[in-house]
Amino acid sequence: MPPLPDFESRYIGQSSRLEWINGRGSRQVTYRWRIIPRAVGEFTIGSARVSIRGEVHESLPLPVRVLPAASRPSDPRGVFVTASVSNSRPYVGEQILYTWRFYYAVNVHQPRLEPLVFEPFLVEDLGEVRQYSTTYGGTQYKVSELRKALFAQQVGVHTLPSSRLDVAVVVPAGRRRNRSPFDDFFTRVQTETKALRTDPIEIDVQPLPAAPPDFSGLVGSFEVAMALSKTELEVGDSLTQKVTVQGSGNVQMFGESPLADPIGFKVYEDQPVGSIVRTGNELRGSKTWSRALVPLAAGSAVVPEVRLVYFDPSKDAFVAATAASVALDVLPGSLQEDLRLTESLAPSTGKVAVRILADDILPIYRGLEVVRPKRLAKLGGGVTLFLPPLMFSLIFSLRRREERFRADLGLRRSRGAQRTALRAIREAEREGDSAADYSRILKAYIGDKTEAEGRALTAGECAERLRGRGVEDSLVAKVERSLLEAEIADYAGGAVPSSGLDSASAKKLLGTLERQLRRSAQ
Amino acid sequence: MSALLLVAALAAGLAAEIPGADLEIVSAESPLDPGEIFVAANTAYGDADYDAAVAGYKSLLEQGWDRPELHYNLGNAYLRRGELGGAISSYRRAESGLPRDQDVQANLDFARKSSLDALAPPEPTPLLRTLLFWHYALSRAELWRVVIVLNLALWLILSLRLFRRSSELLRWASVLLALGLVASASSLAVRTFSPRRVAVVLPQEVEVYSGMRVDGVVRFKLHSGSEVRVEESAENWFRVGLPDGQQGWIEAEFVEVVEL
Repeated sequence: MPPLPDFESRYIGQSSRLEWINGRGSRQVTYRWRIIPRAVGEFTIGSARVSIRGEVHESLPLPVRVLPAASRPSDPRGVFVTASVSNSRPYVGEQILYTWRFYYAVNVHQPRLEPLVFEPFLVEDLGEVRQYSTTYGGTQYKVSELRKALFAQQVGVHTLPSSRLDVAVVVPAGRRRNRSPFDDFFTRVQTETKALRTDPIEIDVQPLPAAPPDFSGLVGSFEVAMALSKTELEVGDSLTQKVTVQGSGNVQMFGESPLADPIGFKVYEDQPVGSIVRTGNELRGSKTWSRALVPLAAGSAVVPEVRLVYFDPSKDAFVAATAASVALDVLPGSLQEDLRLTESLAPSTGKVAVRILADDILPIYRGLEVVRPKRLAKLGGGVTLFLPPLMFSLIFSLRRREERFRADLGLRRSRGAQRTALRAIREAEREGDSAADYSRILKAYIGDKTEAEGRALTAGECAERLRGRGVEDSLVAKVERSLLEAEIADYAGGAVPSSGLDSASAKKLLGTLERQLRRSAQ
Repeated sequence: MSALLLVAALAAGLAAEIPGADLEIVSAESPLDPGEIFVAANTAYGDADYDAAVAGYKSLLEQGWDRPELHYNLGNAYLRRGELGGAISSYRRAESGLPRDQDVQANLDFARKSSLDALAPPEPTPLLRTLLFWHYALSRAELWRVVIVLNLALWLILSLRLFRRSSELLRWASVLLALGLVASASSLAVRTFSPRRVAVVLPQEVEVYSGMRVDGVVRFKLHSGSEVRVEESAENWFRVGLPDGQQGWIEAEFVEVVEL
């Protein structure tokens, strides 16, 4: 596309068409721009170039003649736009009203307004787009209106650039060869896109005169009102002071409190509350400062006047809006009197509640026991956990064994046989008993071990029972012989020499028998 | 402070280069007594050298002195250093070990006031706290002691019952002790093998994603000191849940997870 310094251009899009005729294919691509002349005169649109497979193709230059447009009110299409400001010579900070209007007497589609540029002004919206009808030059128009509040920030001449609205206008069919998708087939109408522009607006911003030292920075028209919740109160009571500043102008500049500190009061400030109202013609706002005042002493007291200095453009001068001071009667506090009356009865009435001035964390631990091993850890958790059941198992098994021992007489006799026999042998030794006594002791032992009445057993029966319990034959024979010899000696009454069974041999036999019987029992 | 850091490094068994000749050199073969590190860290805290205090307390914890008092001191040092997330996570560990300690609770409450997010810490309901009072009112160490004492008492009573089988008192005592032992041992098992996990946010602000991808959708943002419930962990990510049920994934490096 060639450069177009004399036109505004906007790329619209492209379309392509593929044809196949008599075996020969061709493709056509169309690129479309919308161009709008910037001035009246004769111009030339340069050659468009395209490179296809390295070969450059150029179009022919196109001469264009631009004629002056008809005046807007008599616009044959019935659409136009205007823009205006309420004051073209405002002061710095003064609020001016910018109004943009779109007039249309025909059906339109898809109006698209380019973003409005207001540099270097501050801009505040004044509500939504308003729609209404009006008569202009004898023609009934529908109007879409947009309003903005502008605040000049810099002294000097500034120009608001023209705004542009693109809109599709419905026109009767047959006036254009190209039809758009918006064309209504049945009513035979079609649309035509138009770019509408407003004129640039020149604004000459004036500086403010020399400002007084207490100038608040506000420009516009403002009022100050003060309200007190009471004018008579006691020492220690509190009253609420509310000061409201409201008006139209640069209400964004509402800043510091205009309230002066009163003398003889304790002051508790509250958070200020502000609001901005967009009325449609101007920006209005208000801000309210509240605070509680507590008189410190009885007598007369004054809540001082509130003074706000602002610049009023309608008067071309700085103006002070004031709320008059208010005199108060402060009575002695009745609570204080009560305290005095009870002072003698309750000396502690002078106590006051402790105020927490600040919060902080508590100090660290310093005790060295933190880094000393714990006793329980020394013992070991597992041992302390499993030792008690182990001890219980031991006690349980001992208990069971004891109970079984008590319940089984034969077992008890068998277990105690050796001990009983050894005790009897020791007694026999003391009394100097004979071999027959040792024989009876042996028989009693064998009886206990084999669950029989031992003293009634013969030597042969003893041998038989021992053999039955698995005692070796040689030992059985030895025991039988010793018992038999002792019996013979006993029955002979001294005619037969005494057998060799004495305490030592009896102990030895007992020991040997006990070992073999235990072994065989296992 | 560098001396204390050196001491801490040596005590932890780390090799360290000695920056100056005037420093006391402690050989790695004879590590510093834990008591000395503790006193040095406390002194550093008192001197407002909180970096050194943090290093000292962390050194002791790394040596295995996992004591709630150390976590509490570490929390104080973190808080003084302006690290809210570290402070709250340390206080939560201290609270787990000293559940009824008023100092720990006061400092934890103080730290929580500085947290930006209006999130209630993930805590069990009052009903659950009442029903399972022993589970929430006792520390793990205390639960261990209860288990050991009840275990000893139960087996003692059972042993006595071997000799006095007809005693009703011993029978009921053994039943009650057995119930107490089961309850306390269950609590101990839960605390040991399946503890509640709370993630405490460390940086000033961290993004929580819809999945385990940093280029994913940011579901919400959390700020330093916020405590959220850990639902799941995978590949250096934690799935965390807010009290209202909203969930998201957060990178593990941005949180300190405390097991309670």
